[in-house]
This record gives sequence, structure tokens and C-alpha cells, in this order.
Amino acid sequence: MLHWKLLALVVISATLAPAQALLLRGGRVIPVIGPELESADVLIRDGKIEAVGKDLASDGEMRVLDVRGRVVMPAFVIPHTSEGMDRPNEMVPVTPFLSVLDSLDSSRPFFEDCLRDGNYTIAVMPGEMTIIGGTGTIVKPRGLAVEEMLITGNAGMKLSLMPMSGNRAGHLAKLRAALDDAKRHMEDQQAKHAGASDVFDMDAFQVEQRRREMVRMLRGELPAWIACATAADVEQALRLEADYKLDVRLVLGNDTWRAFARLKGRKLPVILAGEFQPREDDPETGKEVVRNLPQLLKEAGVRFAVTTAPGSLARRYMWYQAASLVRCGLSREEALAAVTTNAAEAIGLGARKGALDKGRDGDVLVLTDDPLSGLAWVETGIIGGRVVYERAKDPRLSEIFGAGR
Amino acid sequence: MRCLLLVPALLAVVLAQEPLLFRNVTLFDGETLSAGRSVLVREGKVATIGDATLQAAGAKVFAVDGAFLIPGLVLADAVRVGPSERSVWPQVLATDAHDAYAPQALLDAGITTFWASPGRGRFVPGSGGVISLAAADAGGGVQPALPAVHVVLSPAAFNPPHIYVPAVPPGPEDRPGIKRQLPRTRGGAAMAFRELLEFARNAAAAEAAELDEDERGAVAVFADVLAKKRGLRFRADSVEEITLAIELAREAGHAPVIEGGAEAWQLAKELGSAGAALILEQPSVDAGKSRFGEMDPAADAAARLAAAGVRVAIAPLNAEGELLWLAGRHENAGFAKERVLRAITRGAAEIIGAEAGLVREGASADLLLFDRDPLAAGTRPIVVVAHGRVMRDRSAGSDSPVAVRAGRVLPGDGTVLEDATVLIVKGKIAGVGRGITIPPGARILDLPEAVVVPGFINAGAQTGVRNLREADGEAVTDASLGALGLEQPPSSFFDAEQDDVESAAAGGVTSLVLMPGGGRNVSGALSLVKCGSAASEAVSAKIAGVFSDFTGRRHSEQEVDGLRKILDGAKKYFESFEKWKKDLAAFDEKNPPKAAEVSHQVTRSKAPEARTILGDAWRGDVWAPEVVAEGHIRCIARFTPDKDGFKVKVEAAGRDPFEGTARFDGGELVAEGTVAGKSFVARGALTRHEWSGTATLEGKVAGTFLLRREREAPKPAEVKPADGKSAEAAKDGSAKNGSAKNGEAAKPAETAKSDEPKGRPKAPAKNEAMEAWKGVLDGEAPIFLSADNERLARALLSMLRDEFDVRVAFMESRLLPELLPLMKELGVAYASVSAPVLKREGRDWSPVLEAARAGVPVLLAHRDSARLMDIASHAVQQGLNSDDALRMLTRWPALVLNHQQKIGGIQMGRDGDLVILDGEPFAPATRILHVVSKGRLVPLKEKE
Repeated sequence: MLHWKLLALVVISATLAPAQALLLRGGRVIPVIGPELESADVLIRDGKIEAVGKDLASDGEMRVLDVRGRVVMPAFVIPHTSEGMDRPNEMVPVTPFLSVLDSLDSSRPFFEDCLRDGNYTIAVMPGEMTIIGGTGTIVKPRGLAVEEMLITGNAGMKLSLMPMSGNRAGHLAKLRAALDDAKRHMEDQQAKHAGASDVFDMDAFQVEQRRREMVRMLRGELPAWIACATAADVEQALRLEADYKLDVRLVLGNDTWRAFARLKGRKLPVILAGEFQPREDDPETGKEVVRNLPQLLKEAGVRFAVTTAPGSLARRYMWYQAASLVRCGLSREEALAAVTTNAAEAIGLGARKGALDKGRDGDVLVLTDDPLSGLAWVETGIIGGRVVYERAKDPRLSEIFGAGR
Repeated sequence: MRCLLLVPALLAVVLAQEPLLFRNVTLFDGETLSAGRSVLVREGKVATIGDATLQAAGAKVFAVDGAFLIPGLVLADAVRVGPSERSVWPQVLATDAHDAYAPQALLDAGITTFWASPGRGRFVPGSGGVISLAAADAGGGVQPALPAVHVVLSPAAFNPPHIYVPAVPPGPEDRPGIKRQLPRTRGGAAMAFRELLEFARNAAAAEAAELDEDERGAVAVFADVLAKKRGLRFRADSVEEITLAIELAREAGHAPVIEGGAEAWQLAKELGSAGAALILEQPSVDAGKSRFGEMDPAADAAARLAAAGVRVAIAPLNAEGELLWLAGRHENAGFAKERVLRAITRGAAEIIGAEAGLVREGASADLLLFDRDPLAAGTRPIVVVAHGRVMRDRSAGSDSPVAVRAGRVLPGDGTVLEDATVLIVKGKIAGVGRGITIPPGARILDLPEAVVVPGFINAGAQTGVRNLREADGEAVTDASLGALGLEQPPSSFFDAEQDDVESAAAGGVTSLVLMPGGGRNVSGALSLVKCGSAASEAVSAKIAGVFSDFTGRRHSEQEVDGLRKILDGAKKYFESFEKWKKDLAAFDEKNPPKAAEVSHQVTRSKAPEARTILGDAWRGDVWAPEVVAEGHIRCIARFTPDKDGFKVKVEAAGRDPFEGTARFDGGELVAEGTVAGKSFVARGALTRHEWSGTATLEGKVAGTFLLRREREAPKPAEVKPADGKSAEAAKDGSAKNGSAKNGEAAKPAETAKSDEPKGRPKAPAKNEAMEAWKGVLDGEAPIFLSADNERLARALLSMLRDEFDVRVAFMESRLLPELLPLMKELGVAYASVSAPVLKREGRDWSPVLEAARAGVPVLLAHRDSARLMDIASHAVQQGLNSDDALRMLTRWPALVLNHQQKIGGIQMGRDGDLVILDGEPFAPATRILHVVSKGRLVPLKEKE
């Protein structure tokens, strides 16, 4: 009995105690911002990256990992997904009061895959079959309870412009009605309780609980993530941005490319969630045409992030997505940024995630090969300076491939 | 707020535009028509309106003869939203449903501004707004015009569905509630409307009514209506509905704006005094005269309403693309042209509150260019400009020269040119051969492996037919024709923009004989039209022949006599004109006419009377780059009659003359002789004015030639009544206006009577149906004859050939074996409309092959023009010589139709119609690489 208790204590202390400093020694380092370094070191202390450079000094306190012959890069950031929940949307189309926090399920295989694939920052948002779907959240794929996984609580409100019943005007009427309703409520409460506080205070103004996230969005405190299926949807998203002063993030589907020129110079965070090279019948000529969306975005001068495609064999890997971007005509640097820094910026974590740089979170991957080679695996995964995944000890893989693996 | 959003994008578009100059047009500026104007467009706006001489450096110039320029059309009602579950939902903005990135079909019809309407299926289906069709990257195009709440008072909006209200969040004890909605009757509609106004005026009443969220939203919108922050528009058709609309609008404090208005003419006075605006969508515009000889009052509703002071716009019901067609109907029904044009431009724009419909300096440049009267039947704009940008352009199709360099050219006269170039300038063949100088700016197709043949002619089909008619009060488009009679040629139903015309052209068919439906001994006229060329030059000949169908009839003297009588009648009709002309000349000689006499000359263009024509000198070019260093020789030819033909002498400065004899062979003039001791043959089609064809030196094709008659005979005037307009109206106008038309057609005889000396012979009455026989009786246009009774067929063929000497193409394949000897003897062609291979007595049998072997010219026809080449290929696989197959598609139909000087061959001066193949013509694997129609490259859709 005693040794069980001891074991539990060891486990708890390992989780609670500040992590030992970690030095990755002698790998090829891809910091994403800045040039790549051959046989360089990365030092992580107290969960943050302390130094990236050659021949960093080590002391006896540190845990040193020999990563010679390996590639060291920041962990990938999934800027938008509806995985990890029991189902992406409610049946009712306007549900701004729902939160992904309540439906996240840490035991879903998606998070285990994320651990294995090196996706250590994941923005989980409600799905597209909605008008206002509720708030999303940003998590890391480690932890049993949602609180343990959490990086950012309510990270944004999900809006979708894909018409649910084929009636675009009705869809937008419902969307505007909900926005107007929240706006009216906000103004009413503010006027009613004007004396209660000098600044806008939800409690003092007695803002209804159900409407609080909408009010936060209208006040610009909560970003609006707007899913667009067609170019006309993008147009509507831009109108909503102007009409309601929203902090907009665009989640773009296959048919949005005609509106890319309209995004030029706007600096809106853009997430390409559709296929990179969809086929379509040109409406004028009837010919089947392949549209190169990453290339078109690049030509329009739009920086963008990409995300994984659920259910796809290859496209669930962020490195595969990055390699596909190179095939679409982006440079290596642009492609890597689309799965790391751009993605981090799109979800408001630009200063913390996505790059190996002093002061950023110690989310680091040790890969067996170059991330764009198509042959790379995560050998060691590190979140906040703590090793969370070792391929050699992956229980699922040993189950599948046998102990010899 | 929204318009601010559009500003940067619009600026970007505007900066990239080149200036446009529309020179010497008849301009409708939104109010009046004026001729001889020019309009310069710069940076998206109308910069200058000047006279015909206006110049602008660097501008793209549109100069089209007889062109009209009008503002972009304004469609005052275009439904964009289907019915929703809610009966009252004014929060829905129909403009949200507009997708600026989709292909805009309305632009094809010339509509640049429209009112997006929330539909008619619910009582208050939503609010409409103005959409202006700018370029997609200009971002949407929602105009900052006032949206208007639609209120539908017609029964289509009654009986809305119940609403089921789920509980949020759902709990086990919550049952979905059911909410019933108004209205069920017109009374209910009035009640519901008044209630909404009451709630909007009286917040306490609204509070007490415990409205749901959507209902509160609706009330807020109606408060905007009362504050004039949103417009109000009613749909009302019957007298009762319109009366209610006037009353409800008054209660809401608005001037009534009404769409529909089928019975509005009955309330013209009331509407006028209420200051109403009416979007007239009543479909039965041209009901014409009633049984009692009175004009149906509904037909001239627009004119009556306008006279009562009602602002009128015209809009079609459901058929959005037919705005111009409908406007033309209103003009026919007595609404003045300028009023009609205003009702689809400025007038409509004023009613919907759009900034559009005017051509003024500084106004946004939404313009349409037409090559004829925009209200003539079947007209579409050839250039559409929206915000200064050319969105559609059908004007410049054949302008830039096209040069095709190919491994082989088969000009269609049996010769073969290796490694030759075909040059097309301004839609006509300008040179064929080697070493042709290609002008700068030409589009060059360099295809060393390709084989070039003339564009194909489909000898009979109904491709591209768009028969607009009315059924149950709505415009219906029909893709087939019945028997038409001779008054209306099938070309008036032809729409060169139809998909099947494009695919016909893509299949190599550049000319097409349009046939009416059969079933009558005079089923109608045949028209010759072009596929794939610019829409404005689609009709080559309105009447190219006559279709005579005796299918299913037995042989009897009456049948033969029936047709004979018709032809005799026509002959007499023309003779009466001849006689009148003679009488007139005799009279005028005795009484010399005063100056400014109106000419009533009626001449008919006749088959080339060779002896007269060839008496003149003929001057032109021989293009033989391989024989002469400078490429071509200018020369002059002189013919002198001789006992079996002509002697011909061709002289060129500084060269040996050519001397020889000339004779007619198969409709062509062939000159044979020697030049500098070498044998020389010139062979080509002869018209009154031109002789063009191929020149052969020592048995080898040396080049092509085109000679023109030096001294033109007095220009043959067309048969034309003195009042030119009425002829146009009679031809293009609707058949239903028959009585009015006949009245007009009778006019010419009286028109010039004012100054006329007494006793001057009067012209016989003109008869449109008779005019169609002119070409037939002159031996210029063929009769396509169909008869399946052998005796009847024999009798008809003999009668037509022996008694009237008309061209005949016989169409019945089953009788072919029996009739071939007779057809050969009489010189009758065979027009094959059936499959190329048939079963006969259990064996495969090809009438085409049979006829070709017997030496009877064959014309190939197929219902599906796009498959014509496949049909010919099939016949070749059955054993038909591929040269003959090519003739069946090109030269033979051109000869039978007497259009050999224009189509059916690649010789100088003919239409630039080419089919470019990737291999041996009619071999199974051969595909079409390109098709050129009148110098325009036809877009080939790639098949899956």
C-alpha cells in the first residue's frame, strides 16, 4: 500500500515542481524567426526559452538532451479546428452563450494525436453549421482536466456566414438581429446603471450572463472568428467588421479566393481552412480549373495561417501542410511561418508561441528530419520545457508496431 | 458606413481604366434622343458629351454604324430571396443575397442597376435595396439608397406556415410551441399592417403585446418606415389590392410605390392624384385589339398611367433578362419610344432611388451600345459598360486580323495548298497561299500539322431558336418553331448568343440554314445565319429559300396544282410591279417629274446576267506570292462574248498578258488560257460585282484572285416602301400585331401622293408573303422540298424544274434510289436530314453515299449542329470519298443556296470561316483545333 502512495506523491511532485532546465545540444535549429543554425543549442528554463545559440554553457542542474543529427523547431500551432469536442455545433443556430470549454473532452484521440504530431497549441472553435456558434478556447494537448489544458479561456466568438438553409438574406437577418439585440442590451444596461461604474463593468451594469460574451465581442474585447465559404461571404464579413466594429479573424473556405484582392492591406488575421488547390468549373468557360489559393493569397499580399484537415490522412500533419504550401509556390520560410508564427499571431499568441526565441514558451519539437522532407517524425516533444512525448516510449505505437519499435 | 467601405476598392478599379469613346451615336441621355453625339468616358464617369467629331487621345474608340447609346438599364424588381418561415420579417435585406462574385447574367441583358427584392411569397418578406453591378473587385455594389420594406397584398402571400418554437436550451418538459401567423385574407393583411404601424407608434402597446425577438425587430423596422428612414413598397395587382395599397401607404405617410399593377390602368386617376409610382409588370402588353376592334385597355396601360401623372417603370415578371423585349412590346402598344426608354432607365432609377439611368457629364458611366434601335425585336447590347469598365463587348469580334499558317489548306474547290497561310482581315479572307505578308497586330495561329477547311454549313436545323411567346400571362421561351408561313422568316427567332449556337460553332458549323417546322405545302421561309461570329452580323439572309413540305400527302393533281398556283400568283405579283415600273417610266417621260421626287423604284437583284456584267472592265489583284516577287499583281480583265462563252484578256503593267476563254461551270466562271506560254486557269464564283477564286498555273495552285467590276451598274434598290420604318416594323414587329402592320404596309403607295401629278400610275399593294418568292422565282434561292409519296414527288419536282426553273433540294431519303435518275436529269440537289446510314431491305444503305455516287450534289443537315462533322465522318467510314464529304458541308450547300460568293470556300473576299483540324478531315480520330467564324476565333469548350 505504501509504495502506491509514494508513487502518487512522486507523480504529483513531478507535475507541480518547477521543471528542471532543459538543454537541447547540437541539433539543427530552425527558429522560424531568424536564420537556421547548424549544430546549435536551445536552453529552456522555467518553461520559457532562455537562449538559442552555439555552445551554450551547461551546469550540473540541467537536463541535457543530445540532439545531434536531429532538427529542433518550435511546436506547431493549429489556429482553428472543431475537433476535440463531442460534436461541433448545437442544433439551434444562434448560441452565443455556449462555450467550447464545456464540451472539450481531453480523452479524445485527437489530443493524443496532437501530442504525437507536435501540435502543441490548439484553438478549438465551434463548427461552421451555425450562425453564432459560441466561444472557442485555446488549449495544449496535455492534461486530464480542461483547466489543466487551458492556454486562453474564451478566445473568440465563432460566426458563420455559410447559409444554413440556402437563404443568405435570412441568415444575415438572424445574425444582425442577434448582434443588434446584444448591442441594444449593452446600451440599455449602460444607460440604466450609468452611476454604478465609471468604466464599463459587466457586473456593475448588470449585463445579462447569457449576453456577456456578445457584449465583449461588440466592445472589441473578444475577437470574432468569421467562417466564409464564398467570396460574397468575405464581403459580408468586411461589412460586419465595419458596421459593428468587430475584431475580425477570417476562416476561409475553397470558394473565397475571388475576394482575396479585397483583403489586401487590411492586416486581418486569415486562416486558410479549405483545400489549398481546389478544383472548380469556371462559370464563364465551363472548364475545370485548379485554383491555387496559397499563391493567390500571396499575390494579394495577405499573410495567412493554415490549419489541419480533420479526417484526412496526410493533411492532419502540419508539416505536410507546410510542405504542400511550398508546392503551391510559397518559400520555405513563408510555409513554415504559416504553421507556426502566423498561426500564433492569428490566435493572439504571437508573442508567446510559434518561434524559438528568448522569452517565448518552451514548446519545442525534436524532429528526426527536416519538417518539409515528408519523412520527419516528432522524436521528442516538449511543452513548457517539460518533455511530454517520446516516440521511443509511445505506448500506442509500441502496441501497434510491437516492442521492437 | 457601407459605402465608405467600398471607396478604396472603387478607387483601385477606376485608376486602372482606359478612356472609352463612343463616336457618332444616337444618344438617349435618360430623357431625350439626339443623333450624331459622341460620349467620352474617363475614370468611371462620363467625361464629355460632344458632337460626332469628338476626339480623345488614347481612348478606346467604339464607332459602329447606326449605333444607339443609352444608359445601363434599371430593373426595378428582381427577386433575390425565397420565402422564409416568417410572414412578417422586414429585417431581411434582399441585398444580402447578392453575390458580386458570381457571373452576372443581368449584364448580358444590359441591366447595370437593379432592385434586389425579397420576393412575393410572404406578406412582409423583407426589405429590398439597390444593387449596382460594378466589377466584382469593386466589392459588392450595394448602393447607399434607402431600402424599402415590401408589403405583398396579393393572395400568393396569404396562409403563411405556422412557426414551431423550440425551447433554448431544450429541456424534457418543454414542448415546441406553435405560433400562427397572419394574414389569411386581404382584410387580415390590412389588419396586420395597421397593427405593425400601431406598435411602431406606441411603445406601450408593443410592450403589452409580448412580442418575440423577431417581432420586436420587425416593429423597429416599421418605426424606421414611419420616420421615412426606410421606404415602403406594395405588391398589388387587382383593383382592390391597389386601392388598399393606396390607403395603407397614406396611413404610413408615404406616397404609394406599387409593383405589379395588372389592373392599375383602371385606377390611373386615383394613382395619379396620390402621387403614386408604379412598376408595371403586367404581362399581357400586346393583347392587341379585342374582338370588338377596340384596343384592349390593358395593352396601353403604360401610356394611360403616364398620361394621368403616374411615374411608371417597366419590369418583367420573373423573366429578368427580357426587360428590353418587354419594353419593345410597350412601344408597340403605343407608348412613345422616349417614354419607354425612360421607363427602363431614368424613370425606374427615380422610383427605386438609385443613382443611375442618366448619361450626363460627371455621372457614373453605365452605358449600353446597340448597333440598331434598342427596342427592335431580339436586340441585345453589343457593349455593356458599368462604372466605366467594359463588362461585355461583342463589337470587336472580327476586327483584328487572323492569320492561320497550316500544313495543308483545302480551299474547298478540290485543290490542295501545302504549307499555306490563310489571312483574314475584317472578317473576310484577304489572302490564301504562301509568303503572305501578315499585317502587324494580327493574331497568328501557327499550326504546321493542321489541316484548314472552310467553315461547315448545316443545311437545315433549328439551332439557336428562341421563340418568345406568352402562356398564362408569362413570357415563355420555346426552342422550336412550327410552320411559320412566309411573313416571318425563322431568323427573327434566332439568338446568336444561345448555348447551342456556340456549340454548333465549336463543332465547325459557321453557317446554318434555319428551317421552320413542316407540315404545310408552304411551311415558311429558310434563313441563312452565322454561328460563332459577332451577334450583330449573325443573319446572312433573312430569306434564303422556301421550305415546302408534302410529307404524308398522297399524289393528286390538286396537291401539285396548289403549289403551282402559289408560284403563278407570285409570278403575277412581280409582273405587276414590272408593268407598273414600265408604266411609270412611260408616264414620267411624258410628264417630267419635279425635283425631290420620291423614288418608287422597285428593282430586283437578278442572277448575274453574264453578258451585261462581263461587258464591263474588271480590275483587281491576283495573289500569287510564289510566282511573282512582289506577292500580288494588279490587273485588269476584259471579256468579249463569243459563240460558246467569252474571250478573256487580262493585262498587268509590265507583264505578259493572259489570254484565253471563259465559260460557266457549276455556277462558277472558269477562265482557261496561257500566260507567257504556260497554261493558266482561273476559277471562281461570279457575282454582279466580284469574281474571286483560285488561280492555277501549269496545273499547280498558284494563288487566289479577286476582281471587281469596274463600272458598277446603277445600285439595285431593295424593295422598299417609301416609309422605310414601316418595312422594318413589319418584319421585326410581332405577328400578333398583324392588323396594325398590314395597315402600315399598305401606306407606301399613298405616301408620296401630295406632290404627285394626276394620273401617275400607283404602285401595286405590297405583300410580304409574296416578297419571299422573289429569290425563288429568280432562280437564286432554293425550295427545300419534302414529299414521301413517289408519284407526288416526281410530279412536284418536274413541275418546279420544268415550269418554273427554280432551284430545288429534295429532302426525302427513302425515295432516293427511285428518284435519283430523275433528280440527276432535272438538276435537283439532295438535302440529307436523316442519318447517313439507314437500314433498307435489311442492309445498311447510305443515301448520302448513293447520291454522291450518282453525281447529285448533297447538302448535309443535322438537327444537332454540333454533330454535323460526326455525321460526315460516319459517311466517310461507310465509303464516302472525303473530298465529297467536305463538299457536302461547304461548297455544295453554298452553291445551292446561291451564297457561293460568301461562304463554302477559302477564297479571297469570302467570309473568314475556317475549321482547323488536327489531321485528315473526317478521319475517326480527327479533332477540331480551332474554328474561325467571320474572322472571330470561336471559344471551344473542352469536353469532359
